[in-house]
Amino acid sequence: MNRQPELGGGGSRTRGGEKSSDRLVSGWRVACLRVPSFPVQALRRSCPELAETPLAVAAGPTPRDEIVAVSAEAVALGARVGWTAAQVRQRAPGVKVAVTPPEVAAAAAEALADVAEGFSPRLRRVAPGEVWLDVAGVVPLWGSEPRLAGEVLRRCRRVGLEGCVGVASSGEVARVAARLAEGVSEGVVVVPPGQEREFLAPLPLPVLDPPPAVLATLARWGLATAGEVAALAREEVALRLGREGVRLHRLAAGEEDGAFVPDLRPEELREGVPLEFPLTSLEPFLFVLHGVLSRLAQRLEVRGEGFADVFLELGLEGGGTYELPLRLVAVTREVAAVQAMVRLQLEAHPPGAPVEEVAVRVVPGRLRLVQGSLFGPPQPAPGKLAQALARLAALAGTGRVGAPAVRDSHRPDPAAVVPFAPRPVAGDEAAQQPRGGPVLRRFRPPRPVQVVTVGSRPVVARLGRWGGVVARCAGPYRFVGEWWSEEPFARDEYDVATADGTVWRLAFDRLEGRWWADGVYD
Amino acid sequence: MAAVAPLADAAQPVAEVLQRLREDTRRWARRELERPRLDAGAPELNRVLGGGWPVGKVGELLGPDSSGRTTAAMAAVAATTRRGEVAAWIDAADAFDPPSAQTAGVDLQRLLWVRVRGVEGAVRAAEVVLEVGGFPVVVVDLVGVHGGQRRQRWHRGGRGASVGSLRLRLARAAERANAVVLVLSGHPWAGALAGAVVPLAGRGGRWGGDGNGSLRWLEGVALEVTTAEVEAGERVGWRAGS
Repeated sequence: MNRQPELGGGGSRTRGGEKSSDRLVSGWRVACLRVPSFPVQALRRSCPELAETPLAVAAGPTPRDEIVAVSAEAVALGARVGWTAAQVRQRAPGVKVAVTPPEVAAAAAEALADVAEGFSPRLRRVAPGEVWLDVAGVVPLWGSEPRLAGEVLRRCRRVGLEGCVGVASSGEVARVAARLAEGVSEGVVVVPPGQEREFLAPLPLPVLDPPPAVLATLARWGLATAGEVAALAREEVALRLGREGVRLHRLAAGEEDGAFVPDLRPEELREGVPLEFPLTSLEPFLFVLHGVLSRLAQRLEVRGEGFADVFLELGLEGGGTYELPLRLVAVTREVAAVQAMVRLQLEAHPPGAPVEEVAVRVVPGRLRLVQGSLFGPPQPAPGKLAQALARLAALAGTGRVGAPAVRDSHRPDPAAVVPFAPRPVAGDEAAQQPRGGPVLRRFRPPRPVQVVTVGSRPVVARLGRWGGVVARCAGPYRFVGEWWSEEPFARDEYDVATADGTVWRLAFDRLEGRWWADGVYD
Repeated sequence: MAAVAPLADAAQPVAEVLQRLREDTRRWARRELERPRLDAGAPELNRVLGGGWPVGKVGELLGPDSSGRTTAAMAAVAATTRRGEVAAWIDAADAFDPPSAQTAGVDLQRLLWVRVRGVEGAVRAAEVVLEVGGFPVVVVDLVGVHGGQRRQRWHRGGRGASVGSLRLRLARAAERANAVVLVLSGHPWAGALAGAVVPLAGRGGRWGGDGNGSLRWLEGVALEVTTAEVEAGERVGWRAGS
């Protein structure tokens, strides 16, 4: 029996179809980016060594937990979604059963959202491994919707995920198109505007993912395709199948599913990985860290950003945590430079317990772009300079690389380091002319010096085997300040030439009553 | 048994080889003389150096304290930043004084200051900077950092590079980047790999005022240059004062 129930007249169907079509033509264009077998792909992204392993991902660690995703290799060995972990182990012994840790799945989902954000600022994460993008308005940038979808997939591969894309005038239809795209070689299915109903009409109902009870009822009525459901009157469907029935009817008719409400994206990126056994030494830890940083660098690349601030978050044996903040000298995407900085910091500040979990949180920053001058002198390329600054910071230490600056203070040694960002040459820029004067080589820290004085003036100055009788002396230059603070200073400085030809800057600390050598003029 | 050529027969090829060597040396000398020069920032130094520091070479400023090594290097850096270019100061001695540099005319925003530790770290930092390109002059301050040529190896955790390999790396990096690397040192460091060596003799300070109980001030450091520049295959002695 394939008799359809009489649920309404043709007028109602036509009216519904027209309404739907009018709204679709003037409405959204939504691309659904979907990653098939997402738990498997998320796990493989985090553990690349599992790339060739037949894999079945269970919902939990117990043997009774259900398998939620299987790899193609596991399917070939007979494993199926919906089995329990125990069933897979018994019936397909060559398949490895694993659990995708929540943080690994979350990081992969964020990576997918990063890819989507590279194409449209309006995106919505509807499920793990599935993102909808509002692409109305951005298609002209790429020429056509298939080209846009192809580029989305290419960038998706760069973050270690294989996806497929469906484009339609509503998110639900785009999702159906994305599911069908799994069987298409290009991985892309585009539904032309206004043709959603025609596209869906021949498709079997399970493709629309209705609730099992609704599907069973429709099967009893003899309805097998979306087109047959769309032909029903909505009011009658609502009477008999309720809210779920109306939702299915709207979907089958290819109607819009409400306003596209985009998600708010977090500013920070996070990637982490739990370890199978605690790590106690630095080298294996850095090996694990390299994978985490590489995945972050891939995500930053698709966002067009780089590492600005990095926070290393370690889970320690015994339940403790350890957070290490790293501030980079310049925004960079070079993993080796960030890793070198982590190495230096961990060597200086070890966590103090075996590490069980590694996570890295990143505050992204925009890479520096500079418009060079056509007629000005050549300048370092900003990208290469940023990488070099990060490598130098790893070599010399944070706060020891940058442009020198002079603090607005009369304290001794007013040197400071600020970020090195040379400004481009301006046409009306007046060159700074040298005022002339002695050049000091600083002792850091100042060295205690033995001084013999007559009155208050030094007549003999000796620093180790250097120095001697003072041949010439200028000064004192008195500096007194910050008497209102907890670190006041009061010192008399002298420029002194000793008999061996060396010219010193000596200072008498009036608060301590001691002589210091600030440096030597050279 | 191989026949041994008589000495008279061997003389001809030896003469040819010597002739070829002479020609190669002259050609090399011509090329070195035509090498572009970087403004040293002071007319006296430019005159001593034959137009400036040789580009693509390591220049060495040697001398005791108060001989003016830092003043001379800062003059080159100031001239570079005045042209709108950037420079780097690899400060292994941790002695760089920004107020002095400002007084010398250095545009601090165009100077990269790297406070690295050790000779090996300084050479590595210089290599990193030179790889970027766009830095026509890189100063490597090694005053008081190394122990002279007698000390051939620095060990750090069981590893370390010899002085010979470090100076070779620095010379190659300068050549590749087509930049001037100025090494400040108390003793000869770059050796034969230096394109220009400027030994400075400490002559004390230049003082203002009469000093007879009235005001006196330090105007600068007197530079006495005794250059033995290895160029065109011969050593030329210069003597100048400023």
